Amino acid sequence: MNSRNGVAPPDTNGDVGPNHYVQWVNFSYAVWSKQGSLLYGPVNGNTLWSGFGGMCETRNNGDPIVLYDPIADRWFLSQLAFIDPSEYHQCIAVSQTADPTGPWYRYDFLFSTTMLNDYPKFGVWPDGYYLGINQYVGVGPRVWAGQG
Amino acid sequence: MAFERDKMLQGLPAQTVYFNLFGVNANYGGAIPVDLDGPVLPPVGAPNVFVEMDDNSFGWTPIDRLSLEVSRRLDDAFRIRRSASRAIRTR
Repeated sequence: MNSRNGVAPPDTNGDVGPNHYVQWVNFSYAVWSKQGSLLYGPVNGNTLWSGFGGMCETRNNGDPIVLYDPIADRWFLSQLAFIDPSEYHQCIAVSQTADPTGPWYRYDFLFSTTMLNDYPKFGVWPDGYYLGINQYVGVGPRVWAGQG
Repeated sequence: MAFERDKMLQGLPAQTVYFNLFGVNANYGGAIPVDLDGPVLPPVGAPNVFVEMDDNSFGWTPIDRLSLEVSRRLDDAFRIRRSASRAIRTR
């Protein structure tokens, strides 16, 4: 597999703001200017949580999301961190400014100790960040556990 | 799920609201929330909408498409608190 992290499918995700384009593919993300110049990366997604501690720093499990929040002029990046069958986290980073190469507020939400929060899809909305997930329990095979 | 956006924009501890729809209908799956883009905001208080699209070959079509309104007002919804964030540190 001739990709940076050597995995498939790519789970390609990206968004555009007034001055930047941020793309996250597989387990890595990068930041470009609107003129196409690479400004940062590509680096592993969990670089966002470097020094934060916990599973968001140590695991880089992908299923990434990149969103530009046009109301606040900020960036929202997220990915999974988990260890089967007992810890399933949703890692979220919100940029502190309009610059996605700058500092981030970082979060580690423990979703479940039994269910995988697969296929996470976020939306920006005035009163919250919303998330839809496909839930699974068990490992080999994973068993459908509903929409969350 | 919904996350406290206003808190997260300030780097404050934030909480979530969580609904498990398996008991409502086990066929629900792949529902995606609306993502706001552009300069025009929705009406004040308008709920986010989750949309699910299923191929007929799955054997069920919830009105063909499911539009699941997570009817929530901020004050009500955030009483259903499920998990809190870890301590926040910034790089």
